[in-house]
Amino acid sequence: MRFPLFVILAVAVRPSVLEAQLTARLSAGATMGTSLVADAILYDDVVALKTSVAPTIAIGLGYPISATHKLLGELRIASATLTGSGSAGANDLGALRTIEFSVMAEGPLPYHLRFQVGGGAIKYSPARAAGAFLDDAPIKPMVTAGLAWTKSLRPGLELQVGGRWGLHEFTTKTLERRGYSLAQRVHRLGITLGVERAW
Amino acid sequence: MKGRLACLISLVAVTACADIVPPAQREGYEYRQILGTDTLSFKWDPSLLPVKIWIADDSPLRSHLITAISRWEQAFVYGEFRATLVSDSSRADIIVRNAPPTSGAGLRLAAFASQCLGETTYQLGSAPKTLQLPWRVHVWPASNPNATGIQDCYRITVTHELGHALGIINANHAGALPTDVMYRDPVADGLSERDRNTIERLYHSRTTLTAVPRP
Repeated sequence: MRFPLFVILAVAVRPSVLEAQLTARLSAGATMGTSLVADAILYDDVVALKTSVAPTIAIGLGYPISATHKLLGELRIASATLTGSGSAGANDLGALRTIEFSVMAEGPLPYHLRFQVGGGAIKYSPARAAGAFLDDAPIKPMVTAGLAWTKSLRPGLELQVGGRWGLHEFTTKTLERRGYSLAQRVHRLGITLGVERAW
Repeated sequence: MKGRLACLISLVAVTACADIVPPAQREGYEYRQILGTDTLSFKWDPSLLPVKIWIADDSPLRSHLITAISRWEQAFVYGEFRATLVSDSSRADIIVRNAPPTSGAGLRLAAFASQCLGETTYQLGSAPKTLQLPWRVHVWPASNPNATGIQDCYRITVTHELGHALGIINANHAGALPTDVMYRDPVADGLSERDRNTIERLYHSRTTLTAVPRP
């Protein structure tokens, strides 16, 4: 398991253009997400588990699969604060780190834009086992899509401004034990600024 | 083309799922205190968290208090209660002692287990609809401090009394069953689903009393 899934997939998909380049990218930005759980314990008091805007770093590797398209593997780490918010105020539940790994296809669009679409998994890693995370810190499959604007800084080096959307279903063993059923759709939106180096 | 179609189908499949569904029924018991024509209810405001609790370093209740705090904190999904132990009793919101109460002042909430006894008291403030901190929790041996089973009794009773200090202040323990830790003669070593439902309902209801910090 030392080799990332990206490498396995990259080897499995043969590049059709041999001169295409391997790329690496590093970016930083912020991620925000919708509520993890929302509940009306009493009719006039809706309470929700929310994450703050999270500082985010992302590293990625791109492997050419055609003259214009790449297979992109990316690791994205965001660190938010988790709060339980209701009409009485917000309760601090500590830090909540998320680790996303995704494999995406990336292709060109007009106006120096690139699209990304793919899937992967998101792992929740709370600072303390409390609230909904009392019994476990789940890992969930997710779908993701994004858009990146690029500008060449010099040959082999690009500036990238990216927007990323992700969707996954959230629930935990604690919530299931407490009688919650199904799962919450969680949308996440990230914006990053970074550079990409090609070899 | 097939790849794009697969992505699209995956996306539609995930977005089509429903949101999480909370439990439909939350059965609990009465937590409010009826005093004359007044209904008293209390909960810790988020601005007062973590609640500061004092207990003597060498108290035989100390480890049981830590267990009780953890039990009540874990009752909440949304972090409505947190507590921390403090070393200065004059700063504490709740004071826990392994001795019977020395004064009869304040409103009393008692528990009667077999090997130990418990009592929690609070005082109304001078201003209307206020509760003057601190809460005082007393848990002490019924007779022999080394009686068999007294540690279990301490653990159950401290959990019970801390439940009072969280706001379950019905003096008659109305509606609580023997399976609930808030039963008047507590025997349940841990919180029941009904205990959790009750405290959750309390912390999402409007309450009548506001805590007044110590001068």
